[in-house]
Amino acid sequence: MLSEFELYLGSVERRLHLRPEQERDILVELRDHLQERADDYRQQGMNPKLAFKQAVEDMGVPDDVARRMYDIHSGNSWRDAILAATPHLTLALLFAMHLWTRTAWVVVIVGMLALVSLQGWRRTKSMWLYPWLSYTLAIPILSSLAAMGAVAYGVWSLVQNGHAPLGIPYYILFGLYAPFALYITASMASKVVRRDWLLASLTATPLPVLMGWLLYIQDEGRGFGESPQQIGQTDGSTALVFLALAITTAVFLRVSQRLFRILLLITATPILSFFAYLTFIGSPGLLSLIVIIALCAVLLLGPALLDARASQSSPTGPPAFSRQ
Amino acid sequence: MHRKELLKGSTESLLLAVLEGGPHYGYQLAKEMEKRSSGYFRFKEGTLYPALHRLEKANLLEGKWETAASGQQRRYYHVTAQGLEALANMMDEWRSFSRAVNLVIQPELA
Repeated sequence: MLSEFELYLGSVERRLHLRPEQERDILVELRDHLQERADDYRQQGMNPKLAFKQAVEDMGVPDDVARRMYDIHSGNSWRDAILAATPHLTLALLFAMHLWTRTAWVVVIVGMLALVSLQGWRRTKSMWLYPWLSYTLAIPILSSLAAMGAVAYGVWSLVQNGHAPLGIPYYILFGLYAPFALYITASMASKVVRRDWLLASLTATPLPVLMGWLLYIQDEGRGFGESPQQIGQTDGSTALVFLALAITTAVFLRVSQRLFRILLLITATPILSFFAYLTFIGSPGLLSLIVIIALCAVLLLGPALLDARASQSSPTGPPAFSRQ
Repeated sequence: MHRKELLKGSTESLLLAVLEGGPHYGYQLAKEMEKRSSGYFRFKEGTLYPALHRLEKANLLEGKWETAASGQQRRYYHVTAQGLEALANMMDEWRSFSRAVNLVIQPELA
């Protein structure tokens, strides 16, 4: 059976949402304080069980302690805010200068995003990393969706016309690639949710815009290297959307109140996604509007539900930390 | 209720004042505060650490993990030069405030 301390510290830990080393330091400090307070109560003649209980009560509600600590420690410097906004700014620049039609530029930028994400994930899990991760994760997400779409279209063509546009080995390859890419994405997403569901929501923020843009490109039958004049028609507006995403991200990092961050994402993401869809498909009807809002709700609040489920399945897990 | 409100407004000055005498770790600090105020100031301890961490973020304190005589690692808080300066300002302000309050509530002593 877990002690009062372990239950209490477990509750604080689940709500801290800070970097692992920050959480460890805070929890060690609180644990030592609780231990000393309980020892004092015992020396005053209190029975051990009551002494533990009283020490925990003296410390206050775990939610409040964790929220105060989060507000103090989760703020970021301007440097980190700019670093976090950089991937969105890069995309804005890519569209503003119509560079996305040049394969070499796209390859260099995608490579840079992936490299920084990988290094950032290995060395630090600071908040600035997550917008970079957005685009790195967008690659397997969008490519697996494209692979599944190609397979579905191939099957449909085969049934309707008796032949598929591509050879069967390609479809087998697509069919194998899609679940593999989704597995990698899901595994990474689960790690981000475990760190903090709000950071998972931040990571998901540009996805509706990217998906809308890819659908627009596909719908119009346009592709890389094809009629750049026509393709570039929406580039100015798309650049503005990514610029707005960069500003939203910088504000998210600079403010430290969790509630403000949640409200910021819940408000900015649907508005920016709606503006992007307005650019890509003209005036969207009610159905499109509902689809955009539903997509944003799933991407932003899905991580919170996953986190809540994970907490329910292990509500009493003791925190594992030590400085010795 | 009044005591809670007064403590809330004075927490930072009280913590800096105790730490001016030398580094303390959290629990030691809470005990010292209780002792010096004859039990009048008893922190809801969940507010003590956020206050210490806030002061540290503001560069008024510096927290260092040090090994205590028992061999246990503890986080000792040291006042920085900036913290000492802030404390001096807070003390001046407090003296002026307390003098003014006394003049209002005990005019016969003026």
